Amino acid sequence: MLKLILLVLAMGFSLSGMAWLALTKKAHWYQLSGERSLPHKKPMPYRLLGYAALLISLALCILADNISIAILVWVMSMTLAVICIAFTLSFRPQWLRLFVR
Amino acid sequence: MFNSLRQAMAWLHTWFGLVLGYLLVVIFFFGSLSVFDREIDRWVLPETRFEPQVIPSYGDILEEAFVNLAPDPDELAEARSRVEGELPENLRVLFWGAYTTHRDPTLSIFAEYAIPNNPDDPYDHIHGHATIDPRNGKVLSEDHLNIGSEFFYPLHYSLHLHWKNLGYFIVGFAALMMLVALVSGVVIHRHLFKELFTFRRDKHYQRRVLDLHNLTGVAALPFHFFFALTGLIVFAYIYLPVSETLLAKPAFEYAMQEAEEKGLPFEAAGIPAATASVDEMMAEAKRIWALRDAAGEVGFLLVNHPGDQNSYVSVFRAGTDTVSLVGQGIHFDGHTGELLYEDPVHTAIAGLNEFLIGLHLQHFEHWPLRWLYVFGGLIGCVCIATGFLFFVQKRKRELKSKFGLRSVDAFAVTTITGMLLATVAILVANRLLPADTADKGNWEIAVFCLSWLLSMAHAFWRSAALKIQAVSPAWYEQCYAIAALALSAVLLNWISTGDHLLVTLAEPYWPVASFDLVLMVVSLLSFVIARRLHRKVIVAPVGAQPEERKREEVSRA
Repeated sequence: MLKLILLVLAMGFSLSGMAWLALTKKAHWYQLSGERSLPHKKPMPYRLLGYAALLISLALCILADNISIAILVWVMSMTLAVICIAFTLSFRPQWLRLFVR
Repeated sequence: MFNSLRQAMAWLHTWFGLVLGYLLVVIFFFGSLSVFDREIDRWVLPETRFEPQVIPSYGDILEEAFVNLAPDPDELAEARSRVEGELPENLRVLFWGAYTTHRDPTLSIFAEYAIPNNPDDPYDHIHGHATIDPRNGKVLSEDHLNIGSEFFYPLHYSLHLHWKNLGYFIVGFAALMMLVALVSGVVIHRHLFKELFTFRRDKHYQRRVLDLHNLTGVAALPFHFFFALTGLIVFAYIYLPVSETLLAKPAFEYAMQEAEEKGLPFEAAGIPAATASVDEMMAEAKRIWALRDAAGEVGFLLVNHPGDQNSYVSVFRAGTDTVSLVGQGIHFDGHTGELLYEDPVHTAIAGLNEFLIGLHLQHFEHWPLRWLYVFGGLIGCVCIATGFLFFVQKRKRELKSKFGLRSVDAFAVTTITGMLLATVAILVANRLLPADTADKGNWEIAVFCLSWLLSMAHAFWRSAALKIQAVSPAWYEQCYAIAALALSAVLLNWISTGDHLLVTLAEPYWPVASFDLVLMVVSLLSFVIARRLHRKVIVAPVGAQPEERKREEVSRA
């Protein structure tokens, strides 16, 4: 059960990480906010948040499994996360408001 | 010829992708199914629907099963033509083996038999194989086909073309070209990271298809790259068989020297001797693993030179919790039962090799990762298919001959919906054919091939409609057929075995429950897609090209 919770959390952090990384791109910022250009102060904190979330996801995978398996789970969770975020941006961008302040 | 590297790479990516695209979709699709091959086996063989078992007792079950194992009749017939004089009635056993994983209720056992009197090869040998019920040692019928592990899985890596290993070479070439396509794709993609999350669904068809191709290609790039690469590594010994050809002699001498250093007899002594308790050896191996902080079950058992004074028994730990298949081998003297040799911790290179092979073959226990692999495989299919659709769409106007356009479209239908249709058809055939049908497995394979051929004929026949409409009716008609067949498979499973979803979910028996659920999802999705495509064709005004239709609409307005 603990393992499952760790893996669900890892997936959550992968998704969040990819969401923040996506929001550092002008086109996706526009999809979400309707603003043509990124606010000057935004990209760096979002980028850092994104990478940090991905690292936390890796740590959770390692806590859940043997390191050799953990790396595979982490890489595949990022693949799933990229596809999910891309489709969310395309169909329901407002869902990503959660990640914006 | 080309002005820039990007142009050269674009040419490479396009043409190799196009030539091998159809094949790669098939390889990726059946690879994805193979992730759950054992579970598909449970669905198609109701008599094997019981919990996974550990390696059974040697004394009670295995020894008798090994003794009763016989050489493969085809290999035996071939061997007779290679030897001088007659072959003895009973061939000498070189080894007996048993292999299992955490997902196997049944046990695969195998043996190697020495072929004497071959003037060209003093070490000539043939094989024997059987599947048993490890609870009672009963041999399971050879007439029954494990559709998951014996049909879908080999289709993924050998296309069932066994003549001179042709299938392995074709798949290997496709994997190599997949690597080329990935590298060239990265070179020609102008905004690899900038457009990582981009799918512009409101743009025109060609843009959408290219976005989807780029998205699925880049997001799953590590998966595609490592699976193509490790696929090549798994069968490297077939593609570069130097240890059996150029370097055969030194490789053989090295194997002998290695066996001597480990104290494991390379050859039988020819003196009969009793075998000590193999069950005690397996128990001792488990005790040693637990001492090394790696408690586990036996995954692979080898009894070398059984019944000989030089016999030895190798016990390997199942790699349930690691990426590598098996490990921590412990070897015992078969006659006295004493410990001969314990495999050391492997070197970095050997470890990497085991990781790369284990990564592809996935015998580990990790259900979420298994589903992620299926996702990766299906994403691969989307990537290749969209690349192909983009190519066709871009050149539609250049395809002057109607026949060219029709063939390209018909082949696409055959590859995508035809492949799915054949897959669900074999499952329906499996449930419809009585269990005692002689040669049942071959009938099932015949249904699979025939369905695929019929889908191709249907696709060519219906592509005539491309003269008057943009989408061939074959697409949605075959989607309707897939929806009907997938649902029939679920119902037939219920009727023939009584294992409907309420039973399998309540128990729970996941191999059958989840496969039924997957079939229902496939049925629903196919139906929805069929309806959408069908409506599109009915709604769209008659006209060969979308551009013409647009002009017509504008002039009407």
